[in-house]
Amino acid sequence: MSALLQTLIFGLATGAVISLSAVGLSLSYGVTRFINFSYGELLTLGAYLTLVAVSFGLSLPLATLVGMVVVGVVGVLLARLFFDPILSRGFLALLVTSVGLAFVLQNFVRMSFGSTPTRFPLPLMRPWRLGELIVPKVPVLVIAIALVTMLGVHLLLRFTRMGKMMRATSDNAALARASGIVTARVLATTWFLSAAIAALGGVLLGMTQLSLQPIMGWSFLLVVFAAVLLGGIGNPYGAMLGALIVGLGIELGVAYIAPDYGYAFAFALLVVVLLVRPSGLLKGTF
Amino acid sequence: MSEPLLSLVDLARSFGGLRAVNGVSFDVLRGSVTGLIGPNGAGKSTLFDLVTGVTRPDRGSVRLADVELVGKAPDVIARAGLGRTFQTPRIFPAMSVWENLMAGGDRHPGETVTRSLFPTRRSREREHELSGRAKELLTFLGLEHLASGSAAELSGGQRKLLTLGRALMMEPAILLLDEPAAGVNQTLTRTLMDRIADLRARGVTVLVVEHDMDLIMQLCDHVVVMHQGEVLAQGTPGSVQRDERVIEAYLGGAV
Amino acid sequence: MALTAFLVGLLTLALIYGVLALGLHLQFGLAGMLNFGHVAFFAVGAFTSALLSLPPAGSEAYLAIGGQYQLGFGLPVPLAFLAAGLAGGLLALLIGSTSVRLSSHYLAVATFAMAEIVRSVLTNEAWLTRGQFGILGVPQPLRGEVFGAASYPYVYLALTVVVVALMLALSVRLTASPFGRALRAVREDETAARALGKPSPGLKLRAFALGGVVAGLAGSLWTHSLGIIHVGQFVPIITFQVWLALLLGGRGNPVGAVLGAVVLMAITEGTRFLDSVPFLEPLTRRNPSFVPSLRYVIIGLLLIAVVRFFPRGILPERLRPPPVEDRRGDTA
Repeated sequence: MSALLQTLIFGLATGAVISLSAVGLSLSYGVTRFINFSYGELLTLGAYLTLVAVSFGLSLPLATLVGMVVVGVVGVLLARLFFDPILSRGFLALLVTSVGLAFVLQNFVRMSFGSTPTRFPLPLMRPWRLGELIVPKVPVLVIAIALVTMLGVHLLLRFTRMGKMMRATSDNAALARASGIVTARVLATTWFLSAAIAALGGVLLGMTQLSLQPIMGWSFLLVVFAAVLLGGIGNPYGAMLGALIVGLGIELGVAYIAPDYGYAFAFALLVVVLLVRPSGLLKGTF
Repeated sequence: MSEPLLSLVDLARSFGGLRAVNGVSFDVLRGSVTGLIGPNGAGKSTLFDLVTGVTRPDRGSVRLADVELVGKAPDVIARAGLGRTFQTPRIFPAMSVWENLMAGGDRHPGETVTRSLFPTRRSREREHELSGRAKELLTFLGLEHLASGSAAELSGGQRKLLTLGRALMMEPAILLLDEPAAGVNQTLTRTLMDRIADLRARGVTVLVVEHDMDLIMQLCDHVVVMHQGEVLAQGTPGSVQRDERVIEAYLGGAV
Repeated sequence: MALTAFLVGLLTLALIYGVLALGLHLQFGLAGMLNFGHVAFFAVGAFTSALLSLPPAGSEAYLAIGGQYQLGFGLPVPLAFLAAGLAGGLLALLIGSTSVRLSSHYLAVATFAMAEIVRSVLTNEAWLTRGQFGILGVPQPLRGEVFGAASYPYVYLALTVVVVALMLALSVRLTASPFGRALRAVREDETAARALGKPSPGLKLRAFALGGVVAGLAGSLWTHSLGIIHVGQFVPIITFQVWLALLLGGRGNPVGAVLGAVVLMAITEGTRFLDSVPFLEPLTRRNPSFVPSLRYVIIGLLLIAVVRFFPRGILPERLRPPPVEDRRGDTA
């Protein structure tokens, strides 16, 4: 019973990380309308910057916050420097640029930290005991943080003025631009939020995997793509739904079909979605 | 010059709640030049898309001679004998003017991998045939001096001529022209009109959407007026021009 | 002597990448398809060629190389080479038939995902590929009996040049042919091309499959040049190095594809000498991945820069004029 519960909780934690990362990607897709291959590197950057902050003596929560802010700013800068100038050039230019950026960022991390995995600086946490059950703290924490953050995003989108402007931009970028809603501020906020969420996702990923590697974001990217596309591209709520299905698909596949394949089940799901219903399950607006 | 070549029966298509085309029926007689006019938003472009297979109609049928077109892919419809041009000329920018024309020739046995590497006599002959026709069209359109250059360097009017020529390479039974004179200067409009009249002389049936009333009145044997997704009136240019409902539709909306 | 052997090996590698780039040229340069999974055809071709040509279990040759991989068929290398092309083509047909109707960025993601699935299969099905261990002793044609170790790099270079020349000739002919012309029309404007009767899905699928064949052949060339095959050699970055080569050389031009590969190889190998740059020394000593990673940073920056500042590439696409009046018939 305890073992099953453990598997379930760890599975849910992975799903939560996928979900959060997918929400971040959906936010930026709403503005740019292309699939950003460098998104995974923002997760990697977030995790490693947090590592650096911890090594300077900050507590993990504070270090995470610092990582989120820094990566958020980096996200805005990268968008302004690399994507904005070529938005009108077509898909090839945007996709190839995002791949190039991914190589630059990932290898910059590799140059700075080396290829070997680094242990994630988690303080030792004793699991909770509920009678017979042993409940590990870390995955529960991951799930909780992810849920709270996604709730925060929901509140932002629904109830704040900025959130409404972000939704209008995602709905119909051309119209929003024409009616003056889209200012540089709305775009910058969207980029910042998307990147900061990615950074948090990276930290949570590090917590679930217990180690960091420069390739962590890139390996995770397709899984996030699967969630985003399955749920309905551009729709953060769809991304959450997609993440759930993808996470479940991975767990079931590993448990019942072939244990070695892991993420490959997500890739297969992604391919199926693209072939059967590329628009995803939910409509692609907020 | 009497039986219908293209028959539209009860074509309809809605987008969301908007009925873009709402039960349109008319015939285009073989050998005629038929005009399709109507205020903006009347549904003319959507109708073209329905006929050419770009959009699937919600109901209705389109028959070319005795072949049903609804449900077929756009390239299948084109090969059945239906050619079209687009409002904004869709040239192939990275190719030369010559290759743009040559790409228009269809039913080319050489368009396979094996015959590209090992051409057969038939494919060579077809290529030669198309080559001859392309040269003729270059003269017909007055574009010979531009043949080797990039299609991207052509002016708007020249592009219109090129895409007209390219559609003609297919030797279509019927040609659908989507606002051929839009954005084109007077002289070029004159040229276009002459070319379209020449087409009629060669036995090509034409259905043309236009806003330029001079062109319609001078060229067309038959005019169909659309308004708000339906056929408002049809007949000779003269009768349509005098029709009260038509006048009101144009005065009521923008042309 | 060692330097010339090194340069010969480098040129061989560059030309093999050139063949890979030619395959991508057929898919993207001609047909406009955004294939982000090209490495999968390369890998499948390489493994097919290796598998078919490795000595069968129990034979003398098998024992001579350590008796580890039991699935060898012992076929002659030229046959394995052709089979590699076939395997690449079949995989491309499979992947292409499902994705040919997808629009560009979905096609990019789908091909990328499918390539990762292929890599996953190759890694996990160790009975087929020996997974993490790899396979040694992949036969090298003409080596041993006819040519010794010293002259072998030159022999292999000669073989590679022959293959490249053949592929290039075929590509140039295809590009100029009616088939190539129809494809380019579809690439330029699919809607307009369909309105002219071009059956675009079928045309694109054929181009995609052809590109897979060429990539498979490249895989065979590659594994026999090394004598070793290991699934870890086939990483996604290879796909994007080929993309860079194609974009650098000129996407619409087959000669450009090969040229781009050679230029790119020159650039990346040029960075090898960063190892000996004085002020980088302490960094490289502390972190052995430093220079390799720097090389990839440069590739990434080049990708960004080429797409933004140099999108046409070195060799432009040819504009074809009307044929000369007095040539009869031979315009195919």
